[in-house]
Amino acid sequence: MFKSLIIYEFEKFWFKKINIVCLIAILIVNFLSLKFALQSNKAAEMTDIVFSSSLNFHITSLQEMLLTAFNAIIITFCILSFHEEYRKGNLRMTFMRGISIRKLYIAKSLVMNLNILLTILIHLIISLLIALIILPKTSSSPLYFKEGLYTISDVVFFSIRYYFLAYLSLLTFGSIIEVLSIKCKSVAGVLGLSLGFVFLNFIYISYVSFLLKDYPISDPMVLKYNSISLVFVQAKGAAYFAAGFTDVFLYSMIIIYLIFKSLSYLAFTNKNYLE
Amino acid sequence: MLRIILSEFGRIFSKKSTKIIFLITGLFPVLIFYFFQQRWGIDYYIVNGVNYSLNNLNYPVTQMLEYNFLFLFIILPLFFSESLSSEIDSGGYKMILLRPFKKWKLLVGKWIVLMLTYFSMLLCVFLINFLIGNLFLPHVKFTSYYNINENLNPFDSMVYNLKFYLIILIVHLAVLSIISFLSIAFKKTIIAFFGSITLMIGGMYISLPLQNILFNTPDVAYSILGGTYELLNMLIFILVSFSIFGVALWMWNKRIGSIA
Repeated sequence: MFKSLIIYEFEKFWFKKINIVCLIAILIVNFLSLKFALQSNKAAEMTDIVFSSSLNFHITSLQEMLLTAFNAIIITFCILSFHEEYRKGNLRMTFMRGISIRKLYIAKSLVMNLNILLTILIHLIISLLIALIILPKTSSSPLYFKEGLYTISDVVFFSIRYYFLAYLSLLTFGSIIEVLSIKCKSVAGVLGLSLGFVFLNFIYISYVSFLLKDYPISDPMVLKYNSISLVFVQAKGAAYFAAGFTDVFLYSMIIIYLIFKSLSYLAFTNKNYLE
Repeated sequence: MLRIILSEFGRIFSKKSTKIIFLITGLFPVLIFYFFQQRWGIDYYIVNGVNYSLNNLNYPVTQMLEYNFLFLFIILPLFFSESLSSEIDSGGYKMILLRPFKKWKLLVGKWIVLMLTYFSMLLCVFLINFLIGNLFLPHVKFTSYYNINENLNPFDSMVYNLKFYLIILIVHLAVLSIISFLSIAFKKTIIAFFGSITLMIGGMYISLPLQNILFNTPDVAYSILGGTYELLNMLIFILVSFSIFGVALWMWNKRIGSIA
């Protein structure tokens, strides 16, 4: 039963054209990143971190697009999977078959997490391919927040950690949008609150930098305060984590994810919905 | 036409989101003043590397960078897409279409109302900034602006400020053309919203003049008023916006009966 629920959710997800458009958008996003990379390569040395090569383009492009395009994709996924189905009452049709609302939520979450993973993996594959074909091939490359040049094995290790935290940050962002999607009555409300949340994050980061202006920007105290901000984690935290600077961003993401996932679960499985 | 406009006004102002956007519009200049001037003590602004000190006369035009970003990429797409596509998507617009009005008048009525509403928001921002400038900033009798050699008196400065806001208004209304087009083409709020942002950001990657107009709108306005801007870029921008408005109106006439 649960297996068929997952397959049903998966089919429903990919049946929606907008989700397919989001997937195609990753290709466009990669080409926009490539254009930006080619432009910045003209003014940069091979040892500069902004220089994109076949070794590091998948990291620089994700760093550039995680906060914007990927968050937009997550908002779209959540609005379509949670808001539209839950608020428009489409889910009531599902519950006519005696399916447990809890199991449906778990299936929905699993499918969502799997699809986000798929999205990020597709980005990785496309960016690697684009970089191999178009960007200069190098045997070593600089990495964010690390001194010197690194060979392919170090880049692979860095990439795994970077992509892992980027994925976790997207899941966390998704869990926050899930709560908003279930609670808000209109799409505009979800969009407004989601972007308001991102905007508040920016204000929080500015406030922390003002509050701790006497500390260096990579001081553990500054990083600890900033770890609460999802936007900071996506902009810099993932790179700090990948460089082995600190694990505080990993813990903060897990905690925020668990809190919002629980809230989302409680809101979704509310019995009043079925009455 | 007047009845269509009044009906649109009634519907727009009955929405909670419009009230919230007006609230943000009113609060934003106050927050900017509180953080930038009161907390962080910034008493200057920079245009193309030249520093100018803030005073009561120039204050309204110097605080628009953050406002431009917030409104152009978040608030306006949300406001316009909710007004244009949510009614079509939910089917509520059928009730309006039943009335014996010409189809194009309905869209033009919507545009007029949205433009006037946004104009009043921008006017609000100007008045609040003007008030803040006169209450809290150093009072001067003359002030200078980017690439304007003579010092302007309060009247000329006010004219400069109003022209500056007019340029911002023209640039921001381009969003309405994109949203109109996307709302009629796809009718879903989420597509109109993200589609418009994607088109703007994509355009910024492709064209540097477009990047300047959308991202550095205040700097472009200073340059236009200072006489250093390549006006052809702005002319093309306005022409493209008008063309999109035209295409949207044509599509509306063709499709609205079948999609609403």
